[in-house]
Amino acid sequence: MKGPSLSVGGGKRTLAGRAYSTEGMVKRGFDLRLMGRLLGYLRPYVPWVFLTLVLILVASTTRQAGPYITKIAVDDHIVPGVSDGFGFLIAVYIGLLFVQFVVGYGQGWATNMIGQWAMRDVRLDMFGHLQKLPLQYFDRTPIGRLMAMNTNDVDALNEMFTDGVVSVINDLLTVVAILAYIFYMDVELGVVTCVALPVASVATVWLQTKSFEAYRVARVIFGRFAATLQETISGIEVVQLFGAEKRSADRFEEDNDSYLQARMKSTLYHSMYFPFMELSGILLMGLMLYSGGSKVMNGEIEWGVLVALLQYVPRFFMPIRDIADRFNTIQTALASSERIFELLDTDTEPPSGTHQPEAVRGEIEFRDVWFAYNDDGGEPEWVLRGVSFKVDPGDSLAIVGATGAGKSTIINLVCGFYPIQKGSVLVDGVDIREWDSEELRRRVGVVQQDVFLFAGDIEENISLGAPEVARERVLQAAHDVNADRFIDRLPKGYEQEVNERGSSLSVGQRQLLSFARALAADPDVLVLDEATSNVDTETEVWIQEAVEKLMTERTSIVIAHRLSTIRNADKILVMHHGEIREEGRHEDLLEARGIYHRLHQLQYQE
Amino acid sequence: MPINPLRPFDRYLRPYRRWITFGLIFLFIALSIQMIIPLMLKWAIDAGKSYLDASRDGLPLPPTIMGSPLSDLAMYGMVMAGLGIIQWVANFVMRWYFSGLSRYVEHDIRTDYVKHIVTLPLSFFQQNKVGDMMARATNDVEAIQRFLHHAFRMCLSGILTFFLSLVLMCSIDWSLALLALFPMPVMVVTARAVSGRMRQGYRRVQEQFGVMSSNIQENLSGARVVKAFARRLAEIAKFQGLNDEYVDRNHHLINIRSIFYPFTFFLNGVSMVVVLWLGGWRVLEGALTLGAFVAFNAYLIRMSRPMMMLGRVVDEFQRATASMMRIQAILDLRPQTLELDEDPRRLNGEIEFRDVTFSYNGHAVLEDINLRIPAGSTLAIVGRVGSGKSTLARLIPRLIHADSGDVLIDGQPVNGIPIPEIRGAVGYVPQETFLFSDTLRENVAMGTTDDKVTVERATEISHLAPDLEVLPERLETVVGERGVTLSGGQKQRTALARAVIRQPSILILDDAMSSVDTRTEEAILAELRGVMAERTTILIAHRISTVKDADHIIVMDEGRIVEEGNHETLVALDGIYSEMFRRQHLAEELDEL
Ligand SMILES: Nc1ncnc2c1ncn2[C@@H]1O[C@H](COP(=O)(O)OP(=O)(O)O)[C@@H](O)[C@H]1O
Ligand SMILES: Nc1ncnc2c1ncn2[C@@H]1O[C@H](COP(=O)(O)OP(=O)(O)O)[C@@H](O)[C@H]1O
Ligand SMILES: [Mg+2]
Ligand SMILES: [Mg+2]
Repeated sequence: MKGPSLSVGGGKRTLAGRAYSTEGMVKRGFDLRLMGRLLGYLRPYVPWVFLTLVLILVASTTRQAGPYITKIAVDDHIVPGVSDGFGFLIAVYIGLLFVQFVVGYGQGWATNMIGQWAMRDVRLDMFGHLQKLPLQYFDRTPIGRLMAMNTNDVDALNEMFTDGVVSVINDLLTVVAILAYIFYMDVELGVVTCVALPVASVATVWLQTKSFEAYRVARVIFGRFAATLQETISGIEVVQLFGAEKRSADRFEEDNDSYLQARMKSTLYHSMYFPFMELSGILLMGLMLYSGGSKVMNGEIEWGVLVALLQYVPRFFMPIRDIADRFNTIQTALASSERIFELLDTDTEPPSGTHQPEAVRGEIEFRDVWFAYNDDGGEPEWVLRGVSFKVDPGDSLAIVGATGAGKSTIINLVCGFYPIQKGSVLVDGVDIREWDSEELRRRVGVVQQDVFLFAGDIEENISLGAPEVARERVLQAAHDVNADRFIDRLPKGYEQEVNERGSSLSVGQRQLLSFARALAADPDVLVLDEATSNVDTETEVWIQEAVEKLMTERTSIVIAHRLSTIRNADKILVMHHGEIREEGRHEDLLEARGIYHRLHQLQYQE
Repeated sequence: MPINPLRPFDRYLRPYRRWITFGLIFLFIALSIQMIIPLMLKWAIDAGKSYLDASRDGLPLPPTIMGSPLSDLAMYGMVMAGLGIIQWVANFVMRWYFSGLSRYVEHDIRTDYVKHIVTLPLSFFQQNKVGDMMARATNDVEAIQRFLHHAFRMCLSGILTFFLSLVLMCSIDWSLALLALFPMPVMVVTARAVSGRMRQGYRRVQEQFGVMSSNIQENLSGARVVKAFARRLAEIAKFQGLNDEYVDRNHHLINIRSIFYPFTFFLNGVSMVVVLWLGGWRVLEGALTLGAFVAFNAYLIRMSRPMMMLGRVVDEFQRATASMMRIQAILDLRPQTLELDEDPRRLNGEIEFRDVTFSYNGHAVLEDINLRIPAGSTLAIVGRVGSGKSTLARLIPRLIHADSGDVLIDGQPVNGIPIPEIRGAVGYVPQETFLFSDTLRENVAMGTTDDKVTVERATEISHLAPDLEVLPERLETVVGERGVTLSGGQKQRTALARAVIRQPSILILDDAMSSVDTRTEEAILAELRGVMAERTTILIAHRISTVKDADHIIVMDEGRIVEEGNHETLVALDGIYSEMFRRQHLAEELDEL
């Protein structure tokens, strides 16, 4: 009959795999530096670690005393038939059991808690670091992968701290303690026991190298599977609209098949290893029976020693076998920590400056700015080519141009989201690299082209939970963008929960909330990136009036395709392929009869 | 645990019944050997001891098997080694079948689940969180795998080991056996009591873990917003709170857990003491041989492992059944029928709405919609934010279903038209663009094998082609998640290309050019007019310049059609549309002054 088989259908796929090709099979083996860095997380808990080590020492010696007590019982009482003192011996045994219980409890508690504390610190470090990463990082890293790091990888570390390192020490001490007892009873038999060590070690190392490789492969495949699944679920509407269900399902099946295949490989190794360790145990037992038995027959040792030995042998293999499991845990954790440290070592946004003025005037200037998104050393794909312009405090600037011309990019640069390659961006005459970047962003309110809403209620989405944004400001902002109209009609008004990414609202409504969010923050500079593109003209005019009132004294930058929204701007830039082609006021630009004029004609032709 | 703990997984185990049988056979072989070993020890020691005792006391020496007591010992050792090798093979086969089984079942369940989930109606996805649906495919399936992996090997072999050891111990000395086992009931009772509390603890930990993960996920997805509003410290503070709560809940669980395991060790130790004490007395009194005493101890050790595993297996079983139920709940949902018996018919594209109403959670979104769109004509929809334009459009490809009234295509209610047929005929550009983190080519083609329009041609029609020149790898450029590395207009035009490549008879553009500049939009519309001449087109837009050439224009407000006609009649009507027209024209008029 056909049994489980190693090869299951399914070949290689390239597309979804692309994003993962860098992950996975990097370095391997036991990296001491990595380990050292990991152990660094234990530093705040050194007293606890110390305590656990002491407890482990006590636990492993007392736990192995049982067979030795049996030996004493057999040799001093049972075989010679002396009942005097037997009761006392039993009482000692029971006492030891109590000690074991208390020590075991303390040790289990402490190791687990140390693991929890250390993981809390790791998670916080990661989260804090993620907040500082540049947007470029998020542009190219699937969130599914970051999530896997935050969940599975941290889990793997936790397991290592609670079950890996400590238990290995425990296991090693157990082996040592057992050997010590055996050597103490009889040196020759101790030497015989030691024969098992190299055999067991070789088998264990073999398992490690084999199965860990298979494990790594499985993990990479699984990561890919999870990321594709996550993306498919997020985009299910498109998948269904375009009848791609079957195709997605086939992809999953393919990944799932290769995952099974990789898993079956490690299953094979495990199926060979663990029974082999059992075999070694039985062989050693037979050897002990023979050599120990002969010694008894020759009168070199007493019966109790043999009895104790036969109890020690199975105990001897258990920790060795467990070490194999634990090495797995540790190696898994090391692989995880590799990824985590890689994340923690990813360059953050360049250190922000310290400029943090009392008030912001709102003067913005670009001086010959050259910019490309691909900053990885390759040939730069220039998105902005020598852009220069200046907005005076309190003025309004409008940017028009074809899509892909680089309008949103200019805004990304004003906020300091991406580092520029050449030239400089100045706010109030100070290079933004010298600004405290968070302060700068706090003063600049952006309505981004891509709307993002958080799962939470409407009010939280406008205030973003900032305590300084009072309820009145939220209401006022909602009113200014005419969002109160629909909010008031929601069953729970401002407390109405919105789904993930706001999917329970119409796209225009989401845009209004995102607009209200920027106004509620009361910025000194307002930046609107096609902020009313999904909004009807009536609402748009309403918003425009409100914004004009709010921004009379403040600087604003507006990107829009409907020219009606920008005709009053103090200055209009016409962008084309990353360059400023025309610049001036509405009337001047019309007169110039250039691109702007053509755009205008198109929009208002009859 | 119920009588047959495998029942919930029955459907998935059935294909592997023969593996199970095979595995069971080898399990028995391995187990029998395991049970013989202590007996071997007993025989060897008893033989040796009686030989030694006899020679010491000068009694007649007991017979030996191999000629001398030492070669007897050697023989016992050799037999043990031989048995060990047989056991090795048996154990290997047993493990290979049972562990393999758990992996295959894991594979089957996961495949079923993901294949099923993509066919579920859209409303399902709106009611469930992405994280939750992911968890079923990952954590839940893993929980089942883990249980099945242990079910046979630990559970079954554990139970068998327990009872066989018990029988053999009883055959040596039944009263001692019963006395040695008196801590067992205590163990079972505490295991039960504790496992309930542990389960609750795990649940609370799991719950908090879910909260913490969703928080991270949201934070990462909204990275642009978090940065733009300088919410870093606030986000960290929030996360810290969740993180601490998670540790607190774990703390609670650890308090219970770390007492439980030492306690089982303790009870186990008590059994050992009882055997040493009472068993020792019996040997001392001559009622029991030394070999029997050793064998007794050996059996006890073999029994203790399954006993200590008991709590864990019960735990795993409970998790696995809960997980299976969560997965089954989804598998039981009715999928949409996606298979077609014959080749899809070509729809002409005449659309009609008859008294259609629609509501979300009792909140009316569309009311009394009556509308006829002749095949090949263009309908434009304008209206305020939230007036129901997108909802109306979504009714056509059956993404959502009318509460009452009928939506008809070619005179046939859409509910009667198979989904693949309808969706094959509709090219839809949703208001919110979704791109996959894949190449642009894949995003446009999405698996179509239709060669009538190539990807290149589709990108020309949608005017994406000029932008491809500046992208590093043109059509093979891989875009970021949701298309983040493209400009807004590039994303929209990719979505447009995706719709036109299918040559649909109905084309729906839901505000599909909001991020496209006027010039490009004009060019696209002109191109579409040529390509789409014989197609029904539904155009939702805000710019008058976009909609004015449509055959028919409707104005929506609060879920109703409030005005309809063509551009001229609507402008003449002096209603919402003419107001909108005036507003957009004001600018131009001002210029002409
Ligand atoms: N995050 C990004 N990573 C790489 N390329 C990008 C990114 N964002 C935009 N681009 C590219 O930069 C160019 C300009 O984009 P953008 O400034 O968004 O245009 P728009 O003028 O339409 O706002 C486009 O070709 C786009 O593909
Ligand atoms: N998934 C949903 N759940 C609940 N309400 C929704 C959902 N989608 C849309 N709505 C509501 O239905 C109304 C109409 O939405 P929609 O048709 O998208 O408007 P629009 O005319 O702007 O396209 C809005 O008030 C919106 O809040
Ligand atoms: Mg843009
Ligand atoms: Mg809409």
